[in-house]
This record gives sequence, structure tokens and C-alpha cells, in this order.
Amino acid sequence: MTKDELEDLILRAKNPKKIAAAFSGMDEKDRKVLSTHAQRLLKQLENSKADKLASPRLAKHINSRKGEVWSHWHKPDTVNARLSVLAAGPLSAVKRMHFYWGDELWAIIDKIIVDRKPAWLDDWIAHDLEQEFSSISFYRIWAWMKDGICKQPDVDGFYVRFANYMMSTGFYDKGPGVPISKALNKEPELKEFVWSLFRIESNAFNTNSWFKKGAADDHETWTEALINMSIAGDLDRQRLLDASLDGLWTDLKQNQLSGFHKFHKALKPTPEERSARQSAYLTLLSHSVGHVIKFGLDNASALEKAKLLDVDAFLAEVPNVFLQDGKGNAVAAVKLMGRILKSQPKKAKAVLAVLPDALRHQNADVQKLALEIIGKNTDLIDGDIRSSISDAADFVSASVRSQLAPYLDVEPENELDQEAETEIEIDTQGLDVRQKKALRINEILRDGPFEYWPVSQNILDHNVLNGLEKLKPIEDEDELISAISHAVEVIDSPNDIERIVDGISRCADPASGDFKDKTAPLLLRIEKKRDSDSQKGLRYYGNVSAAIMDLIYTWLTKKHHKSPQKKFEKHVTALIPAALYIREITARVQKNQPRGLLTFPTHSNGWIDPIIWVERLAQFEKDDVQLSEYEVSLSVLRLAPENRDKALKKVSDLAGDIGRLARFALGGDDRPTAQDKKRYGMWVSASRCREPYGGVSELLTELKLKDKWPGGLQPAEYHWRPFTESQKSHFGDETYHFSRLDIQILAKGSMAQSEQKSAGLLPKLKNLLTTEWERMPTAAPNARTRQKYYWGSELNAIYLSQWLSFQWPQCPSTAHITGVENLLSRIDEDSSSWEPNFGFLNALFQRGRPWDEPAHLLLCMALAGKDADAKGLAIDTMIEGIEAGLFDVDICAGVLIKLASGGWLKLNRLGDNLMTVAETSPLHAAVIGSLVQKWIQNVDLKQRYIFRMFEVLLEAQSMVRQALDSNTSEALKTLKGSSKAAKTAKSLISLKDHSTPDQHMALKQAAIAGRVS
Amino acid sequence: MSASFDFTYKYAFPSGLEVANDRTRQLSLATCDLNHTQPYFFDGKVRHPRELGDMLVTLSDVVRTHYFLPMPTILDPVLTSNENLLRLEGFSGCCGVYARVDLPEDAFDGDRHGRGTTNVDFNTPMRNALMRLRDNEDVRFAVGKDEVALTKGNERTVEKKVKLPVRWIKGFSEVQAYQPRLNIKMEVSAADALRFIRSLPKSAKPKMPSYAVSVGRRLRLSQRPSRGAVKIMGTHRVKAIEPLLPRAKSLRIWADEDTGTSAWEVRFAVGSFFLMISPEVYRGFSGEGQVLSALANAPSDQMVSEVRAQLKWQSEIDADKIANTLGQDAETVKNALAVLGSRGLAGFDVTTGQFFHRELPFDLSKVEALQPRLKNARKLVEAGGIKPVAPDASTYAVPGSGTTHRVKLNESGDTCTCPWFSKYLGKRGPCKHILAANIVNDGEQ
Repeated sequence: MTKDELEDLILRAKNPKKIAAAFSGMDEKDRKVLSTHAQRLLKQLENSKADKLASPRLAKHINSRKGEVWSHWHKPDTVNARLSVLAAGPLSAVKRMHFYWGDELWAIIDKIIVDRKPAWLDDWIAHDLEQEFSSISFYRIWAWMKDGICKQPDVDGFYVRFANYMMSTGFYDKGPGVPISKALNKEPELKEFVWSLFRIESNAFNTNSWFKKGAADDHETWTEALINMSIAGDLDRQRLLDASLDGLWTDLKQNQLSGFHKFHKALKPTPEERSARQSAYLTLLSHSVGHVIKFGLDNASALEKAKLLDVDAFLAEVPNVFLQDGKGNAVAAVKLMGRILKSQPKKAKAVLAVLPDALRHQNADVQKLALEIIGKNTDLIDGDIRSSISDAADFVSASVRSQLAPYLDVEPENELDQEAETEIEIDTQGLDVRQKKALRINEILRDGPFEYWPVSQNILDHNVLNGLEKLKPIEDEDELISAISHAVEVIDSPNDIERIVDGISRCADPASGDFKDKTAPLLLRIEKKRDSDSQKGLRYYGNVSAAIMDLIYTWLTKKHHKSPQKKFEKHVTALIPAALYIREITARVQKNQPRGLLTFPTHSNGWIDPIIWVERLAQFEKDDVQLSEYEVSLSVLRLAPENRDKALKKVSDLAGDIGRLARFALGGDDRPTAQDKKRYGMWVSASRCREPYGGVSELLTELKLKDKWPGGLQPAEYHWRPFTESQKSHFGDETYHFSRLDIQILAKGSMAQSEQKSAGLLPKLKNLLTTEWERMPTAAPNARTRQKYYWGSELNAIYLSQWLSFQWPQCPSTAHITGVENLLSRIDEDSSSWEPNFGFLNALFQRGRPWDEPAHLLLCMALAGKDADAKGLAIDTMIEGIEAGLFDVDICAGVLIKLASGGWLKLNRLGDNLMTVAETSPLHAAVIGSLVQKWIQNVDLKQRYIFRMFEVLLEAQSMVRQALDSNTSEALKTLKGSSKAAKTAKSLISLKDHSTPDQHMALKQAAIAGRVS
Repeated sequence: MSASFDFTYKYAFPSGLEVANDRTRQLSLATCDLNHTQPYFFDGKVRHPRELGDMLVTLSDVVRTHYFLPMPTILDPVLTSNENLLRLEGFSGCCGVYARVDLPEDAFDGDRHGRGTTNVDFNTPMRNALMRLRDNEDVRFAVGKDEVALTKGNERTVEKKVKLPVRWIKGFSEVQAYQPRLNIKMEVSAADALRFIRSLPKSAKPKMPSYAVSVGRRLRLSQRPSRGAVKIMGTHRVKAIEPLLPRAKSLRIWADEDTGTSAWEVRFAVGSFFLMISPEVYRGFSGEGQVLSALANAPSDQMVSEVRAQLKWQSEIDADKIANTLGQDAETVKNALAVLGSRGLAGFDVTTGQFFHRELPFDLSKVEALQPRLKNARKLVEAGGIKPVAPDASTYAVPGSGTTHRVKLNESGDTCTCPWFSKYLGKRGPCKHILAANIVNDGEQ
């Protein structure tokens, strides 16, 4: 056959059998001549693209094709070309073909292979079997093997296909059509392949039900087949027992290992067979996989019951069980040791020598159980055993530590004892009366047992600037270019944005002659960002982000550009005033009018020191700078509570409406006049600066505003209710449950939406508006825009979720609520790079800013969620919040009680996280103990995983050596039975108060030290 | 697919643990060096078999793990027989975790038969056997076998053909450059360390960095940076040391705040296990560019050769002593050692603060050529487009993709306007533009 004839055949033959026939009987030399041409044809036909050397016939053929490239892959011409490559090509070309051939074509392939007997066949089969999806079936390879066309493949994939083929029901793939045992007995050579199933990863011992789909009545699983064959004497039972045990030490996935031991169990080894394999079972106790250890323990237990256990060998292996995380295995091991101790007194001492290893296990129940057994055999405890117990003492949980006392030379100490022994001098001298009052120092120091008092709930009582990072403005052009360049790639903190926006305003009129050259690389990147979806760094997605990008672009080019809103983009109302303000700055930058910003924070978290603020105002007055309503509004909301009286004195001479506003905001006697209504937004902000929590209508009477926005004239109130929403699946066969929170933000004193509806139209008419929320940054966060479809959220940028609380740092409650909504949407999801919700928790780290109910709700949502980033940060928050006195036990208990009523609170997660907090120090333990007790008194004690909360309480109370209060004890007494919760409740009720006055003093000192540090 | 070399480990026998007739167990590590010879380094009795077993199992866990992809890797550890120490070094499949077992003389009663570096065979049956070593057993430990034993034995040889990733070899050299920057941050008892390691997330893992912070005598995990905190990306990587802690003495934690690298040194009564993790899970040590400056501005080849000639399998290389011998200053010798480290010819032990002699048993002649950033920088220099920006002689205009970057060479740190530098601010080594400007600047000076 010539190359031309081959091409003609490939293009014209409708029946692929013609290809096989054409190559039939051809020698390798002739095939080689056609090989390259066949490969070239295949490439062109697969790509639907004729190359330069293509014949006019081929080019015409390809050019006449219509439709997508892939639509021709199954057409006769392309299939013919593939078969030709198989018939003439080398191994490398055959390996490159990834194609599902189908049964009909396989008959032709079979003919080509049998006819050609290519030298590369074994390599091709091995290669194919190593692919995730093999195209050559087991029965075909087996047929070739039997015919001597290929050798037995030496790759795992061969046995994988063997397993799959034999177990196939015919539903998904072709199988032998008879039960496995029959098929194996029919061709006994296949039996030898069985032993490889215990060393490779296959579905042979997989118990998933879908493997049986379409099965005939006499279908066998591999397990059933092998057992049947061993019973019938067709396979060696002892070898099966050994092979399944050996398989447990292979380097395979855990589910494969479970298949092996399940099979072993299904063989039901007799006591004699077990005894003969005792050593193999016991070595499994050193395994790293929990369920394999369990299998080893189960067999050890069975041997013990049959009085066949080699106790010394068991004791040599069992310590490894206590190094693993699982509680179940450790408990089983200790219980087995207890049984041995009872039944074999001669071995008692040997058992007791190993039991202290159980004290190193992480679970308190395991430690407790081991100590109970040790405690029943004190007469056998010698110096060595005591020494082992003493060595393990550091590993023992607080709730169990007291039980170590009989075996230790010195009383076991906990952290509280150590703190009580250490004299801490706390310097409260530097605090004035106002601060002492705010921090509740006197209440904490009251005589009697320690009582935790949260700090004052009024932000105006506190100092917030201590210890915060001071922000240095960028005044140098090169520094600004570097800062923007970095922010384009990654934003480390919202402070970066504050510095950049202020820096551009300061450097609005670039001075250097080579500004264009210096900034060319940056401009290129900014322009590239327009089409980028990257979440990292500055981007064009979102209102405020686009405003910042446009500001930078304008600074670099002096051309004004307003980016259009992107499709499906949802804007966060809280940041709309900031975005509008940045657009004002952009306009000024375009006009080359440099100056620093009144809004630039002096400290991190958005705060402005009032003294600096009034100094800026004075300078602006001197420079005749006209301040916009937004600039004044946004700056006044950032004023720190301290230094206001000093600032007020400094601002007494400031003229005009800005002077009056400054004095009003700082608590002076000035008030707005009717003329100020034009710029009411900044007066509302100023009034919220001096009165963050109450109504300000009286302060703003002259403005005659009609306003209903929460956070406007009336503060916002947050009403929330947890519930579980159940929805049927599309086919109605399943019910899905969704965790929900119904959240309403209302102006104080106004009616909820449901109440408004029932009250009719009149109240709405009465509330005719004169205010716009966009002009009031305190109301903007509470406005809700409706948008049916949107893609992602602006707040998926971490710096923006953190920046929310920078807008009104005195009162970030709505930022907290926004965080709650976001955390709820992922409550049962892992952390996400796309929706990183942990940024909202940043606001809780501000010292001196008391936590209100939304703050505690945010904390609890993060503690109860699965998101590891949010959870981890929530633990940090709670630890620091307790130290700083921001955490309020009563508010948090109230939030948790309410959340528990929704039916979706995961108490295991919450408990784990509270445990971490409690373990931090005795102070934290005391607070957590108090919180959990308040919670227990008010919730259904039969909730799932409630025992975890009890365990937390047990650990916390043990750390502070205190008993429960009477109400908690009474509540717990209602629990009866032998459930985990009931047992832990009993332990809790039996706690005695061993605390001393010194220890209470230590707690008081720790509480104060945290607040004044 | 990253670049790799074909490499074949050829061992005379599989490493393993056998029970001898007298109930003594024999742990033998099979060896294989670059030239496929099988050196015989050591034979002796192990004083603490359980600890040795635990350390080798943990090392095995590290080398057979890829910490962000479910793909198995079998890149055997490297053993160095120094003058008074046996060291085993391994690297995870992802090249982000480096592990080293230091076994001092006190760990054995035995004889050292040779010095040098070799690959050692690690296999699953041996690992399974190591998990069951007990202190009350007599265990002998051998690295290699003498020729007589090899000739008499009927053991099957082991050949393992692997793709040795370039980044794996580069990582081995980069990790030496990180270690001198590490500072000790905290030391806690084994019990406190275990409590901390057990508290690390098992399933739901944070995407953001976590931090180990010291609270009183304890450690706790935090999600917030704070003074003295040790940054951890990928807490599951640190969990590798968990099985070692119940029998350890203490845990020392080392960190470099600038790069975000940390090291976890589990200390035993005799010997230690050193685990070092890269700044991020998805970034191995290779490609971090920490050695690029050293390579770009290396001491002369002759100087490096002279220092290399002084290496005699020391477990601690005394730079001052070599400087005296060569009549050079210690700083030059240390720079030369850094270059040798980058070429796989020396390792750094942060616990002693000294380099040690170790020659990786791979063909390392191309390591420098494997540094793409340096290669690209040299291309930029050859292209000749790098110009000083008048009047400031320390600023250069360097051609970039579609633009011209500004590189400023400062004592406080070089800067560039390219995206790479803007993003990492030098934490991942200099960009190609900075390297190129430095090469030009050095040439001009």
C-alpha cells in the first residue's frame, strides 16, 4: 500500500474493517513506511487543520468539515486514521492516543493486534493499565495472554482490572456473567491473581452498594466468593487469613485497609486460628491507622476472653495505642488491661507498670479510667510505677489531676496554685478615677470570692488609643509609589489604604520631572487590573475599590476616569459615603490641589486623636480650605473618646459653621441652626460622635429633620431570631435543613416590618423623609439595597471587611451584624479564600471598646462555625476580650441561649473552642465556667453534644477548684441515665469547692492586670 | 510539570529490620552514592532503640508525604557520616518540609567505618518494623554492609527509578541559606509541646497563617500575629513531630520573622529531630531565591575551591580556623561556605550555628544553572539594556515586560518597581531586575 492509497482509504472507507483488512499480512518494514504518514493524517484530522504538506484532497476534505473540532473525533475518517496508527505506528504514537474505542472497534483492534503482534504490545498494555481510565479490558488481555500474544502484565493496574471485571454485574461494565467463584473455578489459572488483591488498591473489598447495581440473584461479592471458595476447599483458608492480615501493613489508603480487616472478620477465624496469628494481631497495635488498631484490639480482646492472650506480648505493644488521638481505642485498651488485671493476678504488676502510659493520652476520660484501675490496686504500686505516674503527671488534664495525689510525693499543682504563690504587683496608680470606674477595678477588688465584671458598656468612658499603632502619613512621592505598587499586589491592612488615599491627596501635584518614567510600570499594572478577577490587592470590583483605583489612575495620568459598575456587582451601603468622599478627592487631585485629609486616622482602627483633629481644622481655616460635608462627617465619627475636653478648649476660637460643629461634636454647648440643614449629614454625624447610643433629635431640633433611618436621629436596634428552615429536595425524597437568622435592623422605637404592615399606611405617611442615608455614614450601614442577582461580594476582600469598623470606630455594631450575616452563610463550610470571613472579627480586638450584643453574636457565630480562620481568630478574640474585660458573661450567655433555640448550633464545635479558651489560664477558666453555668440553667439539656459543654465546665471548674453554683447543680440533677452527658453531669455535681482566698486574689489580680496592661 | 532528572537508586539489599538468631535485632540501612557504590559507614548497638525508631519513622513520614497534593513520593533520605555524628536529612515530596535526624556518638556503642554522604533506602516494610522497636530490645544498627557480608549474602538488590525534581535538589541547597537566619523563639517541655501539637486543627484547616504564641509556660495556637509569635502556614506539617513528643525532653522552636520560616527541634536525652517548614504550604524551599545574592556576588572560584579543600567531613566547620589557615578573613570564608551550601556541598546546623560538611549524592554541577531568576538576570545583562538613571548612580533602568523598571540599590535593601518585588518586598529573594542591576553595578565598580 502506498501513502496515497492509505490516505484515500482513511478518508473514504466507511467501514473501519477495511483498515484491518488493508494491513493484514503486511510485514513490519512496510508498516514502518506508512507509519509517519498515518500519524500525520491523524494529527490533521483530530485538529481539523491541514498542514503545509497536506495533499489537495486532504486539505479539501478537512476544509469541508463543519462544526466544532471535537465533533469529528468519532467520524469514520478520524477513526480510520487511529486504526492505521495502531497498525503501522510505533509505541510512542500509540501511547499518545487517548480514545474510547467501543466494543465494535475492539473487534477490529483485536484483529489488527493479533495480525501484527507488535513488539511493543506488552509495554502498551502496561502503560494503559497504569492510566486512571484504562481502554484495554481485562478479558481482552487475558485472552491475549492465553493465546500467547502478550505476557502477564507486571503492574498493579492488571489486578485492579481483574478485580473489577470479575465483580462486574454488567450494569456499568462487562463482566464474566457468572458468579466470581464459578468464573475462578472455570479457569483455575485466575486463582493465583487473587493473592495480589491483598497488596493493591482495588474495589474488591469495597462494600458500596452501587457495585451491586443490576446484579443477578446469584451474584457474589469478592468477599462472598472467597469465603465460599475457602469453604468448598477451592482456596486455602489459612492463606486468605494471612494475606488479609499482611495487607494491613501495605501502604494503601485507609478504606482499603478497612476492606482487608472486614474480610478477615468475615472469615470468622476460630480461636485456634486466632491464637496462631496472635503475634500478627498484636503488632497491629503499633499501626498508625485507628480502625486497624481497633481491629487488633478486638482480636486481643477475643483472645483474652478465650484465655489465649499472650499478656506480655500485649503489654509490650499496647502503649502505642495511647499515642493515637482516638479515645475509643484507648478506652478499650485500658478496659482490656483492667480485665487482665482481674483475671490474671500474676500479671497484675506488669499491667500496672504499663497503665501510666494511658495518662499520656489526650482524653481526660482515658486518664480517669486508668487512674481508677490503678486506684483499686494501690497495694501493688511500687516505686517504679509511682515514678512512671509522676513522669506522666504533666500530661494529665486539670479535671483528673487531683486523683494523682496518692501517687506523688508532692501535691499536684495547677496553674492557679502557681499564680496564687506568685505575687503580682499591679500598678493602677496611673489610672484616673474615670478609668478605674470604666474598668470596674473597685468591683473586682471587692472582698469575697472572685467575681468577673465586664468593663463599662459606654465607649465614652474609655481610652482607646493606648498601645495602638500610630499612622505616619506618606509625604514622599517615591514612598507613595512603593506603597501603591505593593497594594496593587497585596493589601496587608486597611491602614495601607488610609495612607495611600491621604498620600495621593498630599502628593496631588507630583514634583519630580521623571514622574511618568517612574510610574510607568505601576500604570501598566493598574490598567491590566481592569480585566483581572484576582481578589488579591487593589481591584476594580466594588464601589469603594473602584473609587480608589480611579483615584490612583487620576493621580498617575491626570485624566479623570470613573469606572462603570460591573455586571452583578453588589455594593455595600456602609462604604458608599467613603466611596463618594474618595471621588471628591479624585476631582481635587486632578486639579493638582495637594493637602492632607481631615479624615486621615492618627491611629490604627480608624481613630483620630481629637487634639490632632482640631489642629488640622485650625490649619485648614488658616489655609482657607473648604471642607466638604463628607470629609467633616467621616472625620468626626473617627474621634477617639479621650482628649475631647482638651480638644474642646483648643477649638474655642475656631470660626464659622465648622467651628460650631467641632465644639458641638466634642461635647460643647454649640448647636446647629436652621441654616445648617443644608449640610445636615455632618451635623447628624457630629451628634452621633457625642451620643453614640441614644436619640439625637433634641440636639438637632433646629434642623427639623424627618428621618426614619436606623443610625440617623435614632440609634439602630438589632433584632434577631435563629431558626431552621427545612426544604424538600427537587424530587421530594429528601429534606434539607438550613441554618437561618432572621435579622432586622430598626431605628430605636420604630416598629418591626410585620407590625408596620398591620398598622396600615398612616405611620408610613407620618414618616415622610427629608434625609438620605447616603449622607449619613452612621445610617448608611443599616440601609439595605435589594438586588436579586449578584456575583460575590465587595466584602470578600479582607481589607474591606476589616475596614467596615474603621468608618465609625466608636460604634461598629452594624459591621458586626454584617459579619454575622457572612459567617452564617458559611457556618458549616471550611475556610475559603473566595469568601474569607475572618476579617470581620478584627473589630473585636480594640481595647477599651466594650462588646455589645452584636459583638458577642459575631464572636459566637465564629466559635460555632467550621471556618478554621474565623474560629481561630474568635478564640484569640475571646481570650483577649476576657483579659481586657470586654467580654460580658451575661450578654454572651444570653446570645448562646438564644442561638441554641434555633436548632442548628453545633455544640461539639462550640465546646471544643470554649475548652481552648478555658485552658489558657485560670482567669479564662473562671469566666468560661461562669458562662457555661449560666447557659446550662436556661437551655434544653437533652441537646446533641451537650456533654461537650459539660466537659468544658468540668475542666474549667477543676482549674479554679470550684464547685458549681446551686442553680446549675439543680439543673444537672434532672439528667438521668447512663449517657455521656448524664455521667459528666454527675462528675460536675460532685465537684467540691477547694479554692482558697489566695487563689481568689490571684484571679482578681489576673483580671485587673489584663485590663491595665 | 516541573523539571526533573531521571535518577536510579541502586541498593545492594533492601533496608530492613531482621531478628538475628540470638534475638538481637539488626537494623540495616542500605546505601547508594552518586556513583552507585554502596559505602559502609557504621555498625553498632543502639542505646535507645525506641527513640531511634520513632525518629526514623517520622523522617520516613516526611519524605513520603506531599503536603498539598495526594501524590506519593519516594525520594530517599540522605545520610552523612561526620566525624562524630550521623545525620539523616530528608525532604518532603512538595519540597516544603525539611527534616533532619542528628544522632551523636552517645546514641550508639559502635564503630565508624567511613565518612561521607549516601542515599539510604527507606521502604514500607522497614518503616513498619521501625514502628515496633522497643527499648528493652537489643538492636544493632548498620549503615551499609562490609564487602564480605555483601558477597556472602543472598540478598536481592533494589533498584528504584525516580524522577528527581529539580526543585527538590534546589530545595536542599536553599534550606541551608534559610537556617543561619533562624532565631530561637521558645522552648517548652515535651508535655506542653504535645498539648500544643494535639491542639492543631485536624480536619478544617485555616487558609491564613497561624501562630504559635507563648502563654506563660504553655504554647497556644493563635490566628493573630504578635510579638514573639512564630508564624505557621500549614499546621498539618508541624503535626509530623507529634509521635516523637511523648518520649522527648523538650521542643525548641526557631523562626525567621522576615521569611516566615520556622523550625521545630524535638530534643531527646541523646540526639534530636529537626523539622523545618517553608513559609507557605504551596511554596517549597526551592525557588525562594535566598541564595541568589550569594551566587550573583560569590567569592572568587579559587576562594571557594580553597575553602572546599578544607572540608573533611567535619560535623562543625570552624570558619575562623579555616580563615587562619588560608590567611583570609572569616567573613569571606563564611561567604564561600554559603556558596558551597548552595551547591549542596555543605549543610548548616542552626543548633550549633555552624556549617557541616555534606556532599549531596546527586549531580549538582547544574544547580546554579537551575536558578532561572539568575539565568534571566544574566540574559538581561547580556542584552545590554540596563542603564544608570542620572544623576543618581545607584538607580538603574532595567527593561521589563512592556515597560522599564526602576531598580534602586540601597544598603538598607534594594528595591524594584516590578510586580514580583512589589508583592514580596524582597522576602523571596531579589527579582531578576535587582540581580541584573547588581551584576552591572559590581562590574562598574
